Amino acid sequence: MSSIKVIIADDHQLFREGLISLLSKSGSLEIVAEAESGDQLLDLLKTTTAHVVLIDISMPGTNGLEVIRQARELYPDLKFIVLTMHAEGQYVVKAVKSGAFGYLVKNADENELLAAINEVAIGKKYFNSEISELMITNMAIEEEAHKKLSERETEVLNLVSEGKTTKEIAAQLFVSARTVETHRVNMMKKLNVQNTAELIKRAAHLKLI
Amino acid sequence: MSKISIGNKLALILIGLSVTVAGMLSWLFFIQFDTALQERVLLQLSSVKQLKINKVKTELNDRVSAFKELLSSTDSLSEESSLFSSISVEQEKPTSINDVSVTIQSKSQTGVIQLVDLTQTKGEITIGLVAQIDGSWLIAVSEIPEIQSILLERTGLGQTGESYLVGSDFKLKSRSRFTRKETVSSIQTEGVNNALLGSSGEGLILDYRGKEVFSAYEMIEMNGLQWVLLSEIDRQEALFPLEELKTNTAIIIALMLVFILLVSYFLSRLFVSPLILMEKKLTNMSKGVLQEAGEGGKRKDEIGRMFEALDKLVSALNKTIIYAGEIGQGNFNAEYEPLSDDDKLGNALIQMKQKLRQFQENEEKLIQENQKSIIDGQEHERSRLAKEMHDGIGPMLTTMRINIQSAELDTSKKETLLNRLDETITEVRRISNNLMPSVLEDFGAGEAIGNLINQVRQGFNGTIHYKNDMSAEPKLDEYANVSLYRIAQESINNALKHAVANEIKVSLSEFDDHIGYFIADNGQGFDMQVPKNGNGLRNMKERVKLVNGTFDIHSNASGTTIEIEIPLK
Repeated sequence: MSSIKVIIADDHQLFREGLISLLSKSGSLEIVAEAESGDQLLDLLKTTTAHVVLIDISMPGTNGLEVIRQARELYPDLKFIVLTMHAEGQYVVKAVKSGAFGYLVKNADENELLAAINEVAIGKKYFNSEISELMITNMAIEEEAHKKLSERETEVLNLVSEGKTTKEIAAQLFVSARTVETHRVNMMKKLNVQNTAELIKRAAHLKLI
Repeated sequence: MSKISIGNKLALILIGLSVTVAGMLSWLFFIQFDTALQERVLLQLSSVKQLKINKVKTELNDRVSAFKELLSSTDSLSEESSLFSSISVEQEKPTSINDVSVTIQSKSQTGVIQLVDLTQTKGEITIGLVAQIDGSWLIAVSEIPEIQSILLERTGLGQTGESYLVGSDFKLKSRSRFTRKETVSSIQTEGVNNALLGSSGEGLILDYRGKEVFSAYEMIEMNGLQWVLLSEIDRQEALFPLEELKTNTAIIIALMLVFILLVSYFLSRLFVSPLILMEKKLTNMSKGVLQEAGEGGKRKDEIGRMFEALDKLVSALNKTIIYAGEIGQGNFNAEYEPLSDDDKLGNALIQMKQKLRQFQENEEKLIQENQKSIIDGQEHERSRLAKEMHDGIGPMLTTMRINIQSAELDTSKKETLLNRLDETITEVRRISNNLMPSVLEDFGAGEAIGNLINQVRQGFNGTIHYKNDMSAEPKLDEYANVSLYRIAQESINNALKHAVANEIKVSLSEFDDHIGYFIADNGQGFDMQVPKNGNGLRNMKERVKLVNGTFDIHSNASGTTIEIEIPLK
């Protein structure tokens, strides 16, 4: 297999240069182009082919993750690794959703960087243990299916059907009694019923509980 | 005049009016009485005079009749007649009888009796009767004391009245009641003169003493004898009832004056004392002291109504004062009903209230906007700084890290440098995150709060529950988003630092129209009445206010709960 063609997209020139000199030491990589913004990258991709793009999230103009989403539609074979200062799970989840194959924080080690590029280049996804953890924590919330009722509402509904009082539900769900009441009223509105008894009946019918 | 008090004016008017009326009535009455009295006196005198004249004439006629009898029987001349003191026959026409010279009409025919006055001494009235018979003259002398008795009869003449006879020679024939001595030689008074001229009458004249008397006079003419009979009474006595009337009237007027003075005193007390009371109250009012009218208001007349009106004025002013006071204390919700359409003060106050309220609202709005812009500026600055560090210094440090990795250095030294650099990068990231987490902007407060809780969880000796019910799409605007995060940051910080709790529950709930934030701890709570030194609570409340949200806090020994609702625009 020929060397992996890599494009670097980052608004910091010094970083790009440093990265290039770091990666050049590896014989299996070839830096074919560099871009200082997401928009420039999209232009560049029209003429340049590559295997892997190292891309930052925070850049002037179009945000890195948005660029990934757009580019993935135009160039399905192009793989993206997010290389960013952001170390929060939300970014990781969003990057994955946008179609990124890998996610690294900028102070990642040289070895890790190379490992990620190599893995992603052959179509695998690369997330180290730290990033995986961040991702899982946040994915758990994100993956909740958007049902007719919200997660919280379903919880309240279940507790109501168990015969718990508003106060008990509030205590269990760490919310105020008023919030529970509001949820209950909202559910009745959504399921088009008039009272709690009807609400439970209807919820059971819809197999929500 | 204007300086005289109402009481005195009232007294003057009453006195003036009553004196005028009494005076005029008295005068009219006096005139009437005077006229009537004079008429009555004259009438009385006239009838007395008439009576006496008749009696005198009867006496004279008796003598004349007796003399006629004598004439018809001259043969019995010797026959004594009781009526005549002497009877004689003269051949010649007599020129004097009893030493009194007489004038006898010589042309008289036979049988014509002539009477002559022979009185020499007052009171001893004597007449002579003369008649020619067969060429000789029969002469009889008769003394008539009856006439004196008739004249002395004083019935109807009072104390000073008298009747007297005056001859044609102007000599007094009867005795005077007033002059014993013969001082009066000739009586030529108006009455005598008039009577001698043949007119009888009555009137107020001067008598022979020179005194004013009411007099009735008439001439007695019989057979040539001419006497004047006068019945007179002193004016003083006759008009004595008039004097009495004068005195009585004066006493009555004096009593009336005293009575009127008393009445006017009481009237003035009745009318003036409430006026004085009113004056005092109005003076007090002008000094700003408002008091009810009190006893004056019990009356039902105009003064009572005046006090009622004063009471109304006082209560209206009190209402206005209370209203003005409310405005003064900044209560712009105070309500005021204008007393009428023309209530200028009230309407001015209402306008003032509206202006002040508007002013206050504008000021509050301005202050809120100022605070908002200050906070906004601060947050933007934080955001900018955080970004500078995260996206400026961060990449520089990572670049340096790459450079070090690329550098030809000995492995252990490289290791040390990279570790130091990693620490620095972590620190920069932490500082940036503390300033303003990028997640807050990119993923919303729900995610940012989650990250915050994940961070603090490690240093907390207890459990923190977090439920984020926010949808993926941020619904809050940037400002409210940051505010919610700051509020959460502050409340979580408080719970960690002050509550001494081992369980903290945090939840974020999204509704159609608002976001609910709820935090509860099972800590020791705090006394909400005692002001806190820190700005934490105040800042939270301020932030909530600036996003038009609601803030509820409850704290007791079993913990503290805060519930915040932020409306979605």
